[in-house]
Amino acid sequence: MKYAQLIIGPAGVGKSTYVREMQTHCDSIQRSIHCVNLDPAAASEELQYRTTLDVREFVTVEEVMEEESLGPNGALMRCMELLEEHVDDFLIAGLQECVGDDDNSYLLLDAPGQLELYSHVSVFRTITNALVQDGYRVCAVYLLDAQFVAEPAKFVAGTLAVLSAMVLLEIPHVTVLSKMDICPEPKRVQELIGGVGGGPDDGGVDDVPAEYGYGGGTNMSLLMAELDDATTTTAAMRPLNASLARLVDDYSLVSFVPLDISKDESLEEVLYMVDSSMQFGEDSEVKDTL
Amino acid sequence: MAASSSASAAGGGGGDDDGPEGARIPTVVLCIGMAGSGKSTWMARMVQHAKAQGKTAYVINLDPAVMATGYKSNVDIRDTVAYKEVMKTYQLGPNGGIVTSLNLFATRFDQVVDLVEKRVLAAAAAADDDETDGGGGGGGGEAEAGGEAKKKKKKKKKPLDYVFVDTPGQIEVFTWSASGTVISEGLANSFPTVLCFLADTPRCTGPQTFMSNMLQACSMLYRFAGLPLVLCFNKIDVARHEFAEEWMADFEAFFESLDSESAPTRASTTGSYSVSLCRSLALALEPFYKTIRAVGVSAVTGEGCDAFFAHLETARDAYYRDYYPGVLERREKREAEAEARKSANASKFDADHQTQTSAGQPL
Repeated sequence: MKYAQLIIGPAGVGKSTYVREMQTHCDSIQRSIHCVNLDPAAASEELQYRTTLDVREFVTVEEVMEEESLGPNGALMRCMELLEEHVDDFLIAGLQECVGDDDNSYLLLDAPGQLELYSHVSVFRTITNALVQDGYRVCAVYLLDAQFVAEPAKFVAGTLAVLSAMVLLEIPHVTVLSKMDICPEPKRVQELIGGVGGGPDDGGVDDVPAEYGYGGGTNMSLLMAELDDATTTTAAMRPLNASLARLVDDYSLVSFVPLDISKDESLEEVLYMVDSSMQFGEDSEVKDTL
Repeated sequence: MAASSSASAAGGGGGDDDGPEGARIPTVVLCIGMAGSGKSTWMARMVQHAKAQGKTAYVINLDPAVMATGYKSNVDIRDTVAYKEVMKTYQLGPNGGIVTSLNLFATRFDQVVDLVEKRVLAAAAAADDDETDGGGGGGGGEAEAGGEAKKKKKKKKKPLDYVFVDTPGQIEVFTWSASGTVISEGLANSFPTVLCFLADTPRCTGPQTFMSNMLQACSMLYRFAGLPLVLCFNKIDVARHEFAEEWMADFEAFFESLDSESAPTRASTTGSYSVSLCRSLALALEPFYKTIRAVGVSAVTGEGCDAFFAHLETARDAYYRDYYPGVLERREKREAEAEARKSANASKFDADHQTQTSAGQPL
């Protein structure tokens, strides 16, 4: 069995940084992973990690902008269409060549940030389907900027955005709240995601063991009660608040993992969450590392 | 004279809309939507329609990367920020360039709000002049208005009815960034603001994509803290939107389409997961469907414009009913805080002053 993380999320949320740090982390724990860049618009300075495969070898936004005289946006959509058409010849064949058919090979796919790619068009659906057919287990890692979910209303907005990707992709999802290290109100975010550590020290990110903490879903009902009282909530929104809270609570649909990129433990937590959602390593032989 | 007649019409109709300064306050329409959903075309259509109705529109373009807009804008981010230069200077990709351009612009957005406010006040002043003159034309008013307003006299006399705001092509640049918050709150704190979310109807026809789109729209409702939302199914000249209305009104119909769509094509295991998720989501969104103002429009043919503008009026009322009290509350709180800070500073100054003078006296 092969594994792949598909890293998605809005622009500027730290997807590439996540990949870089994950690579460094995996280097240090001597785990082999392969990073693949799927963003044809990435500027060369931006990539701070080693890539096994880069979509820009196949097509770049600049080329398409020039050749088809499109704007940056149209060009990106066109690039992704091209990638969708050639998913077998470029991506799957490329992976066969570079990664091979090893058991336990592990990919990180760095996706572009345009939200419509996950909610309007089928490109990522096609990519994940192709990967699944090639024997990969794929997990989507949806990154959200922690400081944009520090308020109940925005938190719900984020949850809904994640759900809208979930509906289309049909693969396991882990939602990672990035930039916890620079978030002005880490405690507040912790509270909202239901992983209140209550530890005496500062961040609280590494206080709670994953088994008890953030894996269990959010404090939606609590959150909604707070929302109902907020001045910005209009009377018409109350029934909606209630029904969304029920949905998310009952199904534990969306779980959040806070990520403080500066801490190794935090990276480890995230990796653990993603691994367990893909059942990574469960069917592999126990290795004798002595 | 067209100017005076429309001014008096607005003045007569705007009894309850009058702001604190007595000016007719325009409705701000914040146009958001996924890339390619036809925002710019729809902007052009709205402007044209408003003009055809004898209304005045003020247009703000916030998309730094757009090549050509189909409308004339009063404020254009491209006049302030050169997107290509930003990309070069900060060594950014196209996406980062757009985000940074908008951030740069957002730091000065208070000036844009001021500009619109001034425009509103100028129109009110002009309207007052007209009224004191009676219907007798602008002769006296012109002299009184003085040299400053002389050049743009005709323009300034018309009170604004709408402010249309176009957002960057990539929706997340506006909705998931700090600058989007700054801009939307800046507008919403000064003017009745309505969100106009454009859905790409031809791309919603599948039950799953439809659900995905509705979740996005619902997400906007929360992201912008309860600003009234008008949901536009655009491009109905390409694909009719009646299916969407049916799905929103009747979840059974949605379930049926969901079942028939997913059964033959997908493997049973994965299909059933998504289908049941979609079902639960459809039920959960029921209250959203009930309250939402949805309208099918075509930016190309102009179909549905009347219904859209009617929705704008009810949304404006909803803003005053639901959102505006919050604005006032926050404003009062802020003023009270500023006052407290001021008096604290004053007493601190007094204390300092006293110690200084008492210490300085012996010298």
